[in-house]
Amino acid sequence: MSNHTERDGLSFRQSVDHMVDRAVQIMNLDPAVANAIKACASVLQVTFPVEIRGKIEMFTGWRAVHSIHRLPSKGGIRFATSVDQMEVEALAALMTYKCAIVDVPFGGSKGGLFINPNDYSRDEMQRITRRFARELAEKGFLNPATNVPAPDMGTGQREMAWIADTYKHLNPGDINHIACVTGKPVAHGGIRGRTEATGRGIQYALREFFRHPDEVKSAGFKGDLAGKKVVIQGLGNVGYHAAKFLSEEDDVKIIAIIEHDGVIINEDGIQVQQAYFHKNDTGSIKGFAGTPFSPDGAKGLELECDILIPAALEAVIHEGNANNIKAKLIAEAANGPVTFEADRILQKKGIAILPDAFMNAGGVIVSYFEWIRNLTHIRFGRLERRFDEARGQHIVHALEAMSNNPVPDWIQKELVRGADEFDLVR
Amino acid sequence: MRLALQEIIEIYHRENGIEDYRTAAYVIALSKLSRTYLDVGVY
Repeated sequence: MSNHTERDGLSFRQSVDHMVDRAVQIMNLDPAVANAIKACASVLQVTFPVEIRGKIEMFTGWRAVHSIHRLPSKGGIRFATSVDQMEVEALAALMTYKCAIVDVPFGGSKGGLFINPNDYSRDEMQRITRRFARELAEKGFLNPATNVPAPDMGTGQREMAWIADTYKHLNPGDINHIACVTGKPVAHGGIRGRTEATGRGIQYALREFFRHPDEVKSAGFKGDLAGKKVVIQGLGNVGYHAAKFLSEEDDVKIIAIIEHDGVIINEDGIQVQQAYFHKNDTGSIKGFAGTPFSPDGAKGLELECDILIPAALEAVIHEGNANNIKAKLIAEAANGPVTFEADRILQKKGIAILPDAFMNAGGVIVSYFEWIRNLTHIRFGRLERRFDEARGQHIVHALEAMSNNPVPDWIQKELVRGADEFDLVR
Repeated sequence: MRLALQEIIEIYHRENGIEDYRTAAYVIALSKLSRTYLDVGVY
């Protein structure tokens, strides 16, 4: 089943396969092994009824498991009307490669429910989510040992808490029930730093890129991140945090923010947090602090800038607009924002791309920490913290005894501080 | 994230025929994945 609009020939799954094939050829990898790696191990499709406002509505969802060479298989669940089996399979494959690239010992999986979350109340969403979770759990596609979902488009902490609670009620004897899903609220077994993790990863990746002078030069840049002009597409969880951290901590200028209904542009730099609040209050970035707005969001991608960060949908840079992209570097925060054909065009134009399979891995890295935390049943740093503080205090005393000088307050403060969970995760 | 990008950049420069970071990233992923297949075998 497929409801995907293929803008320029190749489907998302074909795009991913082509990109992998290119690597296979270069490596001279045995085609039989390559085929074994590329194949999706299993796909579950479920259709279930939920009573909404007195009427029975049917919902269809998928969970694809791409690889089981490491367990559990890991990957988000998205709630959107773009979801279909092909998309879920492509995203599951990306998860396999992503985990391998950043050395997180998980297989790849992905799930999706065909739904527009805006059409339903909180209570209705809870019933739909719990029913979907039940379908997944009963069929072995939700389990702390074998298949662990996470948030994605249209889902967040709230949905993860419902999924975890549903699993717990079905399996109260499973001592690790809380590890059946990651991205939970901190009060319900989540981990500090998970929400912003993918955005934080984008920031860390770009910082690291700018520590390599040869790469910086060949991408056509001078200097470091400070002052670079950035266009960001999508002010959701990933786009918002990436733009916020880069502008507040690295002096990057966010000159344009593209959303589903248009683009706001300010060459002097947009206050990301304020724009985000405005969007949450009004449902749109339009009308934010007098910043010029244009309803033609797609044109925003073609703005003159240093770094373009697509952090929303798939296939936004395609054969039709790739030639008009003027950024020097594309940082793929979203999954599959550049189609295979566009990738070839951008390559010829000399535009560097930091690929999705690496760029947005921050989320799964911190999900790994959350899963480990859940399995150990203890918060990171809880046992060591007092000991670390005491050891810091000993060092301060030793320095004072040896130098006959008091240790300055700021040094003392840093030395006697034991790391908490947030310090360790970040 | 830092180590992964360092590895991508290294492979990008070291392996002949790699023209972009994406291919370098996939080469890294595939070599790790194929190792598990080749070491353990197919069951």
